[in-house]
Amino acid sequence: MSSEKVQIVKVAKRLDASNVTEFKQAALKSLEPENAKLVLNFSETSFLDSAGLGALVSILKSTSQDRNKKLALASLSVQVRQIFELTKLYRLFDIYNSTEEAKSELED
Amino acid sequence: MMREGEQRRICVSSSFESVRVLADFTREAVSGLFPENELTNVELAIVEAANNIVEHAYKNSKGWPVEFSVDCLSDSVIFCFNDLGLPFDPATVPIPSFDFDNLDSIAEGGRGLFIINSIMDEIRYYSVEGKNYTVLKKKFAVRLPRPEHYHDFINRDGLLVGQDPLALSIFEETASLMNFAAGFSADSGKKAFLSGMLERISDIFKAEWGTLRFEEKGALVLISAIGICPENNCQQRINLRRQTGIEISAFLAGEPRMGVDSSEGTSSSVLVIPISWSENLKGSIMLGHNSGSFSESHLKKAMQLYRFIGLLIDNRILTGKISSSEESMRQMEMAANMHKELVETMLPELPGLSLFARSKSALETGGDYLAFHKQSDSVLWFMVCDAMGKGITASIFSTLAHMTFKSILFLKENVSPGELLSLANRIMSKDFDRFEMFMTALLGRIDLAQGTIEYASAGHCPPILYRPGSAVELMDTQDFMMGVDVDTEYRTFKAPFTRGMKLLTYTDGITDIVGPSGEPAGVEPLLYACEAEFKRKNIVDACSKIFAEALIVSGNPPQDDISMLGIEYIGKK
Repeated sequence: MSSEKVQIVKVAKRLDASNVTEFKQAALKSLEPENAKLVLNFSETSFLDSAGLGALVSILKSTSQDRNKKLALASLSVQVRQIFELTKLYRLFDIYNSTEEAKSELED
Repeated sequence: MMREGEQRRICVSSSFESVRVLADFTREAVSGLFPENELTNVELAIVEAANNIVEHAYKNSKGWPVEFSVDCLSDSVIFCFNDLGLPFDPATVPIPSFDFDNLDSIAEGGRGLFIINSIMDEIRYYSVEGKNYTVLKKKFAVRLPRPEHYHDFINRDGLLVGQDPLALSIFEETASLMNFAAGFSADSGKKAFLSGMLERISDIFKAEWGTLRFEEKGALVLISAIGICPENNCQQRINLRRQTGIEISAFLAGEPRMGVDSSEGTSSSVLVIPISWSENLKGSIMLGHNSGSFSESHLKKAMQLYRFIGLLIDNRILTGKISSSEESMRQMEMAANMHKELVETMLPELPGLSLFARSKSALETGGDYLAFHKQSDSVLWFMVCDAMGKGITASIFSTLAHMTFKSILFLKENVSPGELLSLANRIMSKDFDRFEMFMTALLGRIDLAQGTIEYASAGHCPPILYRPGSAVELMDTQDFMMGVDVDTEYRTFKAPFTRGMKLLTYTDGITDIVGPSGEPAGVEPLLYACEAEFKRKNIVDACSKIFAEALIVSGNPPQDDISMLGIEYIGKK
């Protein structure tokens, strides 16, 4: 049934209150198709604030409505990882070391 | 990199784009002052605080001022925001859910304050005349001064838990505590457990620590114990500060020591409790880890804690001191009570005068002393003194002075305040020398029949005088402290004291309060408060308000002994 290709979206250098709205819209849009699978690539992201985290929670919640939709986070920098740890939110998400790894997991 | 004493300021207009400017400004200002991982945290906390201002204070309305300053102090950096928006009450913000198995319970927003609380060491919000202040303090990581201070229980791996059943049980509890530190919700069972755990730790330090106090402040849980080190009468304090979900930090003798642990190859922030005795560092306990949940590394830290406790138990010198100090502690309590009762300020009744006296010690007892002495229906003596230092030694000296002043007044009716001080200084001079003690004192005599106030000061803070219709003023005082020179002839100053006038004397505990900026407040805030309050309120209400405010700023118990004595001439009915 996994007809939908895994999409990879690169997250901006900073994901904060000033650009979170467009990020969230783009991510939600790519999750619209049935069985959509999304990998968020954080390889270039060095900063994330609570607004960014909130958007990620919101995106995750939208995928949880449909069990065939999937979300994964990949290539978190040390700084971003630290922020996930601080808020303990890493426990919510599927986090992979690389986009390739995340992609192959979601394709399975 | 900023240097100690340096301040940097910037003002931006309210928008999320400007928050990025503040983030860059902050990073630039504090780079080099904190390790790399802390820099990210600091930047994040600043962004969260600024986002809150844009979003909540200004309701996303652009173009309003957000002033921001960064102050580099010797042990910390203070970040201060001010805005003109809606005031903020952190108590109204709920603690975020950590029930990660239940996605619906996880909110999308509302994490900002939690993040700030987790990162910063002190957070204050207040509003004055339409301006809101957000003051955040981040303390520097303190490296223990010498490598040997990193005790072997920090560096050695793979330690055996040991056979001592007490130590073993402490280790187990510690391990649970570390585990517990990974996720916190305001759950009473866990609270009881944490409290029990701390009591257990406190047991080990028996004589050193007094009762544990437990208080919750919004997202913070503060556990503190105060004790007195019998050897040098200095206050020792342990505070364990639990922030929701993240870390435990602790400080001894009032000093937080976020440490850097480099024993595992990479530098990680850990919590170091230096264990000092008579100001000598004896070792340290590491208690927290800034990342992740309960891990191998936490286990190691827990083991280290166990090792420390084992070390403490083994340390015969230390345990010897502990047992002998139990008796000292009991004796000290008795002495403290006696002092309290001796100098308990009784307010005499004098027609035409309204009086106020209040004192709060930093420790169980202190060196501040306030007294009134009614000589006749129209003559009132007032005395304020402050013996150097805090605690029992200071209180013994203020008691001595109290008895000396009283004896002189008893024997010599027509004495001026200057003469009284000169005599007392002479009588007590050997005691001052022997214990290398100094004391400031202010003695005064109000004569209602003559409408005068006479006073003399031994290096004491100048009294504040209010005359209806004019600004408050500081009165003259110039002479040496008591204990400096046996031959000091203290001068007596004289001023009219008539209906409507108010007098305030105080000790330097008020003017030395260290405010959010880290600097002593000085006399200006007190003058300002008197100017505002004395015009509108009677002496008792005005002084009560100023005293209460001083305690709020200084903390309760205060940083130093705080005392105020006020007199108002309300006139005869």
